[in-house]
Amino acid sequence: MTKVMQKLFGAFSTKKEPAHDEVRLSDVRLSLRVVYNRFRQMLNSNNHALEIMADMGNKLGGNYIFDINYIKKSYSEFSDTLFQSIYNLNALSENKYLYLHRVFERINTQVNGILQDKPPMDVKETVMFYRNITWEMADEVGGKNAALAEIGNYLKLNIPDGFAITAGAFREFIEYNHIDEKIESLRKQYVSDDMGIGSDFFLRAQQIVRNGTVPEHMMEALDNALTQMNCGNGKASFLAVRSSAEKEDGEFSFAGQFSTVLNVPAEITSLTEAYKQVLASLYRPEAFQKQDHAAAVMAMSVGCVRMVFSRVSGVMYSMDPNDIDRDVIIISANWGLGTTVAEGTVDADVYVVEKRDPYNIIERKIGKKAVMDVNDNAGGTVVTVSVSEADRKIQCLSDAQIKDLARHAGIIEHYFKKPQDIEWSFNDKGELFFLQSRPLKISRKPEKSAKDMLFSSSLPKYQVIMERQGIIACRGIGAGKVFHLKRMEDLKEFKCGSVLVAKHDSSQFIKVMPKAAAIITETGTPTSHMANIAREFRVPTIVNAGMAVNMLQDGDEITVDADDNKVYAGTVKELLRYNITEDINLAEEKEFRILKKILRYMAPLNLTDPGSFTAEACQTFHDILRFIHEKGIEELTTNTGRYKEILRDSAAVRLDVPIPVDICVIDIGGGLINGKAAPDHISSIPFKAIVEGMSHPGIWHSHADSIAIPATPRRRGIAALCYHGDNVAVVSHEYVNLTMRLGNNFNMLDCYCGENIEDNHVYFRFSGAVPDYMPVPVKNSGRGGLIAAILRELDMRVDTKGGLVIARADNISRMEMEVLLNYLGRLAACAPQFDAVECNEQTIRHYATNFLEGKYDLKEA
Amino acid sequence: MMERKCRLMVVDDETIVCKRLKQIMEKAGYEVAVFGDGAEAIEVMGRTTFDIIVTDMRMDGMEDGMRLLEAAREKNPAAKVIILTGFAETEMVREAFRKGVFDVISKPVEIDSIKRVIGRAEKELNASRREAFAQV
Repeated sequence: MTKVMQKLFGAFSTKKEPAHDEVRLSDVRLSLRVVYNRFRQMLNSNNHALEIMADMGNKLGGNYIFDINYIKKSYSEFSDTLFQSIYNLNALSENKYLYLHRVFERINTQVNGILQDKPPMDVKETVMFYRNITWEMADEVGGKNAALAEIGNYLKLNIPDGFAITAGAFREFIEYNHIDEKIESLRKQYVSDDMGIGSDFFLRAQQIVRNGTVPEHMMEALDNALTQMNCGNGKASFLAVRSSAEKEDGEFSFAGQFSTVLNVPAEITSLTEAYKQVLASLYRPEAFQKQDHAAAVMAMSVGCVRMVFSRVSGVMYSMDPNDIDRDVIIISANWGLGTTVAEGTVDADVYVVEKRDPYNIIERKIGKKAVMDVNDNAGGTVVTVSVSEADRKIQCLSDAQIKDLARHAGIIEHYFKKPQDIEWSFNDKGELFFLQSRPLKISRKPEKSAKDMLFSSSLPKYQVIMERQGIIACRGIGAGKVFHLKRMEDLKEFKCGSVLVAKHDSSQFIKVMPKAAAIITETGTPTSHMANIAREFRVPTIVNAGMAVNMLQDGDEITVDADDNKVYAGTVKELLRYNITEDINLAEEKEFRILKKILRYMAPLNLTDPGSFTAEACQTFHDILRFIHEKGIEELTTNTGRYKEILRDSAAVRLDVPIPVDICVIDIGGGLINGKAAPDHISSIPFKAIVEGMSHPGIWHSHADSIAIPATPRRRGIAALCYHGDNVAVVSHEYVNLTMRLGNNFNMLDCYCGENIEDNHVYFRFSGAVPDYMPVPVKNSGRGGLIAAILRELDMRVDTKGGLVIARADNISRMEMEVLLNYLGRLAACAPQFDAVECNEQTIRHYATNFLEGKYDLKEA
Repeated sequence: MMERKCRLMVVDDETIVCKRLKQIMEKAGYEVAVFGDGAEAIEVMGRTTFDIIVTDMRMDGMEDGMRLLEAAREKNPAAKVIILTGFAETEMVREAFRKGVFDVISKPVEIDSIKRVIGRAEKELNASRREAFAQV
């Protein structure tokens, strides 16, 4: 019996059995009372699951101290609740969505694997191109590959093209060749023969790996990758094949202990040989001893990048590791490949550059540079050759190149939030490539620790502009110039290292997050989508910070301490220094990594267009929750075809408000007083606000004498708007789902509005068929444009597709939500007459302003 | 008045809890020593005086926190003990208060709130020291 079935049967038997009714699923027709109960239960379990998920997301901000037990406990509660939700939907729909259990089980298996620290099982790819690697793939491609991909994809800096051979491929290779077993038996042999695990053992272990066979389908994938890389490139290519082990450059440093094979001809045999050579280096004595468990557990991903025809290469530190008080960048460089500099085999040039614009070069030491490494033309090796006498004496980098490098060091350090050790290369055309970036080990703490300096008298000299004015969404410290965001379009003007200050939060901030020193918003909550992204990018963020826009002047230099919730005028060097030397990097802590990974299976929402929801399309738990919500409502209203029955039922009543629309109101709990739907009997907070909006003076009157609506035999004024069919409002005290057809427009509004800001959300969908008496296309998108413009003015996030407009807002207070809903009520009532207006940029602005000012008749602009 | 920094002992078998409390409280000006198990902490307690002890209640499944609390009463009688626990059962909490703990906090805990509790403990400690000093 599958786990799903076990769970299902379990659900019918003991613990999971809902207590609310005795009706079996096989009953053909459920009583309406039962339907309502099940719907309400479904909403409750859904909401509870969302709350747990938000709570878990909140913990990533660093405001809490939690341990692994919290994660396990929360997840267990979440999965039980979600399971209950799926059960409830199936109970409501007479088992229409049993497939959801399968989706649930698939994701649940992944998450449980993460909780037990098992490698993820769903990644099947052998190779991943850098251009497709995102931050969540670090486990599969290793830290080094992920960091390089981030430099290319998020910072848009030049990296050589290439791909990663995944950790999944590594595991497959190990399994396919029984390498674990072979090495274990070798180890036993050495122990029993009393030979000791010495260099001989390691040589033989490495040989076992090198003798392995790459499975055929992996060969195919590698071959394809090579073909893709050579596309359109006539000349022979060579690759650098290097390790990117799971924990390399992370908690443990394995720097220099795994192999790198340079100048590998880009063809399959050479590549697989190089690949195996890199894998074998897991069994180098120095590397092996550092691993606290079997090598097979520490998965080795490998990076394959096109060799750069390097003219000059080297390493740079974004900070002086021996003296963090000097604000400098240190660059070492030599002719040719970077190997001579990285391995310290040459007396390289060293430049010390000030870490601020205009990046003055304050020291330069011209090294002897007797030799350099270059690619052997035939491929396969790197050769060391003499540097000409003339080249030995001169700087191998021009001043402009030095400054350019220094500027980039700042950008990269900024992105990774810690000092960086960066490998780079200029090719023969003078183009700059970044080859690697990893955290720089600070070897010596300053005599007076950064922490002590914080408590010395220096800190009070900085003026505190804001203190405890908001909620910390992501801890950390950042400094830079204030960038006031007035319109979303201005995001493209955002400069690296600035502090983004905005009125509202928006997930569109993702565009600048890799470059932002900090973010402050006047509204928003730590559980918003934006806050989640800020945590992913580790950007210090304070939300809900009152009058931040007024208090922080555009262009002013400020320091945001999102640890202590303070904003200082100017740059507080002591804090920045403290931040950089801080030993603990939350993002790298095991608990944070696990929570983050789990949330990737839980939180992202991929289902956004309710029209195209399917159970198969659910990729995350959030998708499942959204699906359940949508289908639950559908079941209650349309799918069951019981609309008329619901109407007859005493729980469903007609809206008793003097507006020319029929709306059937279904109260599922606390939405109406004494079952009446007159204005003073509506106790549903969101529905009341909408109805008040729809009853706004002048709003229906405007339909009657609107100058722009031509009279037709089919449609005359108000009468034509009454539609006796699909107008249904499902309400509870804090919830409304309103489906409404007015004229040719279909509106769907789903809203939760209560006292808890974090639960509040509204989703408004407007779509309209163009009346057949209208000359079609322009009007449709124009009307959509007008509605979208109004919704944007109301600070909603708006997506438009032709005549379909979808707007969302969440995490706003009850009061703000009531105002918004009132406007949405007015808009829904008003929208039919927009069919008739000629919309262009100018008129849209005119009509939108009029509407917001309460002028509903469409006078010409 | 306390001339030196307030000395804090943190005992928890979850490394992350120790690490973070150390980071946060050091930034707030405390001197912090962390221990991964109760026995080691009790041993050190005999040699060094701590002002505030923050301890997990259950470590490796044992009720180590309670033993630590008893040891503290004996070896560091003036210290304020704060219990940090993921499983705050009523009986355990009652027992802890009977034995004189300063406060019981459940995990996960918001940083501001644990800072506040530690701050209160420090304030009380200072007040009683001042009182003792006045009496002398």
